[in-house]
Amino acid sequence: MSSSNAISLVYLYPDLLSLHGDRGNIWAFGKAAENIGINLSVSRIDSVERTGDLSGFDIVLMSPGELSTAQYLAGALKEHKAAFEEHLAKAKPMVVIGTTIAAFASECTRLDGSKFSGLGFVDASLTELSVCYSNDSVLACELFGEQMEVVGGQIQIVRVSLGKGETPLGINEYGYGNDKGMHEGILKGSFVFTNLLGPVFVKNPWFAEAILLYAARQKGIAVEGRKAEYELERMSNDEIKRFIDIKVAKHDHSRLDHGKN
Amino acid sequence: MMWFYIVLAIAKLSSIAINLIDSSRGTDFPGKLALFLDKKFASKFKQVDFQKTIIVTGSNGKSTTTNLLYHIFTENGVKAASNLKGSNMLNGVATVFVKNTSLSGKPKADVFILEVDERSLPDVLASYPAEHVVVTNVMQDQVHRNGEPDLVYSIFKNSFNKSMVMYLNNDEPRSKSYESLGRETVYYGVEQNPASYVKDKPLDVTMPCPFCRHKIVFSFMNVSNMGRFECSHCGFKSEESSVSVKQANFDEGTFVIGSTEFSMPYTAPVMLYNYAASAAVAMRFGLSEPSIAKAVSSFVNVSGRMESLKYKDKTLNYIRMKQENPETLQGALDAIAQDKTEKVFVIGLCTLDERRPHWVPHYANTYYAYECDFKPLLASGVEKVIAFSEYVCYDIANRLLYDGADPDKLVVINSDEPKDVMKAIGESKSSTVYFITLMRVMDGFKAYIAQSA
Repeated sequence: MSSSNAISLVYLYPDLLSLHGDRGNIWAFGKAAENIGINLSVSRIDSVERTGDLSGFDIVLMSPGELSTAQYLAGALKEHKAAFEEHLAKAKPMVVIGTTIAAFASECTRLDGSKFSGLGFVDASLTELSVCYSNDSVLACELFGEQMEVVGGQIQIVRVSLGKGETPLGINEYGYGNDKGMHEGILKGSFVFTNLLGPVFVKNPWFAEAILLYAARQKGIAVEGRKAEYELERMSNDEIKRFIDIKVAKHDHSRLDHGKN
Repeated sequence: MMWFYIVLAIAKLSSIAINLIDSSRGTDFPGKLALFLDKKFASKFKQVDFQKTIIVTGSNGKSTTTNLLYHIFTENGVKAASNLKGSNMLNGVATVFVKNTSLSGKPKADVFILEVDERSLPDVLASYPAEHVVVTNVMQDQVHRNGEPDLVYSIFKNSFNKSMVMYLNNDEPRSKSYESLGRETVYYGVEQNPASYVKDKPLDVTMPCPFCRHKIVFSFMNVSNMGRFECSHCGFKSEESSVSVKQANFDEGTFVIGSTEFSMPYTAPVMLYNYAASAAVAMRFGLSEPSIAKAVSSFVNVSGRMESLKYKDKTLNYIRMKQENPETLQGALDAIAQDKTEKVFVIGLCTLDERRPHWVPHYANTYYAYECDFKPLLASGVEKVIAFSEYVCYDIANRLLYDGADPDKLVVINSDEPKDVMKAIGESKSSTVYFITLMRVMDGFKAYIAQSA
């Protein structure tokens, strides 16, 4: 592959944001990039102090971490807010997974009643749950022009309430979503937020492909046709959906209240 | 107090009855019954000396440390009482006192050693304010109910107080960070040894500092996220351990504490922390290094995670793991990787159990496998890899492929049925089989093997 097909991804603070095997997402981006003929380079930045200029990167990826870490990031990233704003202003993708959204939301209320403000990139309020909610999840969405189904899971310790102007990433067909309602995630320009785990891009490499294709378009890179159809991942997701169907048919409706706060 | 004595007598009778039915079973029923009859029952054992009561808690290693400590004390003539069979919530702890006190509530043991579930710690401490608390580690565990390690970390932080002697893992940042909370801190740890390693691959990760949330850097690890560490920002770091396992020699099965050589009954690297923690407590209680060493050499771990089974011409080495617990999965993988002979590797991670639907959500979580490294095992001489488990077998297979499993050697079985898996095992050449799955699943395999025999 020539370097003209190059897309660079920066993986931010993986030591601080690593709860559910999320480094697998980087491998999945590599697999998806290979599938569409993109030469993906991955860099990692280990501390907020070293964030610096993000202009050399096409995609920013941040994994879920502990809520206390998101709280720390919400304060520490203020100094670097401009770098993220510049990235998003150029319509480059930025992907945030799980609880880390608290660093970029309007406000988060902790269980003890204390509150902290995020960078305010999205109009969303978070509330820490008193009971963790864990379940499978199915999302139907259109991301950067690609219709897709995304299957994953949630280990939810916050409720995410969107402001009126915000658009969800998609429709939550099963699981908790943002707040046990119809909506899952946030899509705002090139800012993508999802609650889903799995790791979500491992289980849904087409989700990674859509982000890579969008980043490629922003750089004027022409992408070849897809090679693989991800048979293993589709079989996996079909099985999880069969599992969900059986749960729902048997008794699982009541269990959707498991995470009631 | 009269009602307490009546309840204690009823609970004792229930304990005797259960013992007559099946003495091998661990149960928390006597304590549960007593607490049902008297909500404050647990706190009414006024004659218990809490200066001689030890709580062992943490994410991993509680049962083994408790069992080892009990063995060390009893081998040295100290009468100990404990919940050795793992009933580690308030009901189970109350059962220990039901069984090991007289009808008047007077203790029949010199020391009480209590394994305590992390989330039950506040309730247990409220009734049994033990002065000695061992923290093994605070890791990712049972995320379906804990969500993140910070939850247990905070529970501990709010539970510890200045009356306590804290035995803290000097090599595990969260455990070590409780050092200012007790009356006295005894650090235990493990020095660098032949099994130590450095995480330096591009996507290797460590953890955030419990104080400032910056990156913790390990100069070496003995097991995952346990080793010599220092925060990259605030300077929080490992100290000199009060009790340190040094000169570990896995070939000879020996290590040294102080100036005494110990024999290791079990050579898994993670066991070194159990030896260190137990020795730290035993020494604080006045036992000498040689007497501790003598006891350790004869320790048999009833809560051990490995057992061998015979099936036709195969030896099945079953290694137990805890669900949603990457450390125990990694420990199992590392143990198998040490065996370089040709083998069959069988792994079934399963969906979460639905037998206790009100407590455990029924969902598919194999995410934690991405925190583990399968490459050393896959490079250790594997004839065949069998990924089984209904619903999640393809996820397991995908994880193995990401770490370089040969697709031609990979067998995927969308079933938890022993006959399906054993058929694939039977078709392999290797006589050595390593099996990682949950204990409840393995029970079905054991029954199948017994029936086949």
